[in-house]
Amino acid sequence: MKLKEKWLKGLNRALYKMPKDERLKATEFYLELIDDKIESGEGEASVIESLGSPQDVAKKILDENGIKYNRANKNVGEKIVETASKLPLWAVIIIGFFAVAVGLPVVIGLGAALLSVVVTFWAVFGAMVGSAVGCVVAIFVSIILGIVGFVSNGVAFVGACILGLGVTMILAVGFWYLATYTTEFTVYVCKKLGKGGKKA
Amino acid sequence: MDTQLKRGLLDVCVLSVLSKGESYGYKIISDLSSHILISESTLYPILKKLEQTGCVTTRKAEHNGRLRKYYIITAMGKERIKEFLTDMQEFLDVHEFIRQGGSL
Repeated sequence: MKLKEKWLKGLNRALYKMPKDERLKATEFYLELIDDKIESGEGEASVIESLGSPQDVAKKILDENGIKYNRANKNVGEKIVETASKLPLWAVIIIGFFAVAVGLPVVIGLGAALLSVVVTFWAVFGAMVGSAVGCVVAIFVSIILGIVGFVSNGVAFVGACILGLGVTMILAVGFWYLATYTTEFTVYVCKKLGKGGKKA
Repeated sequence: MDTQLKRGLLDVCVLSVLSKGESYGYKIISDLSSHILISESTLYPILKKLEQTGCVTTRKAEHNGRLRKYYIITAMGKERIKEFLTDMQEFLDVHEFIRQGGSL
């Protein structure tokens, strides 16, 4: 009775959106029906074939309940299991091997690249902040120097430091935005990856 | 025939079969099949709805070592059949009116 069990399991899986007791009622109905047909003399294979695919039957049942059966809504895991179950075992093993051998380094590489960009932006931002602080300190020092006596040099030096301060502040703001945007982006990507595996 | 119309008719057809006595899935389909072709995936939602609306009740009994679900028509279900026949009479009157080209 392997065909019958497989079909019923398929139906149960396809009805995953229904509450458990409803799913049970539906599968019981079909189990009874299949058994009755077999009892009346029809072969198991012929009965299962005449029912159509469990997915189509499930869709009809869900439609009646106003639940949308959407293949696209299935999460990544379900889709993989569905396609994998249609392939012979050796194909699944080979594909799995390649997926890990190729996919994993790529993911790690991309992840590392993204991370290093984020770190760099933050580092430059930090450097700009540091330079700005340095300029502020230099301004004070040169003001003091100017007061103490080195007037013209002092003034020129103050001017240069103010300019430096302005430039570093602008760069600091710029890199602040770059750093925060790339950080948010990384977080967003991580969340999406996390959801993709869990979405039901 | 229009799908919606057919669906509405199928509900009453199933009730009509059950008005002769309780029955079960496979038997309902074969009793109906001589008059209306109905698939299992169509019958199941119909039976479900009839049970939800109180037109049928169910009981389980053992048959050849497995459980079989029997559907039994209720008073409400019988009322639904009467309603349908009255509606259909009105429908037939309109049908006649249209057939006569808008006059009787």
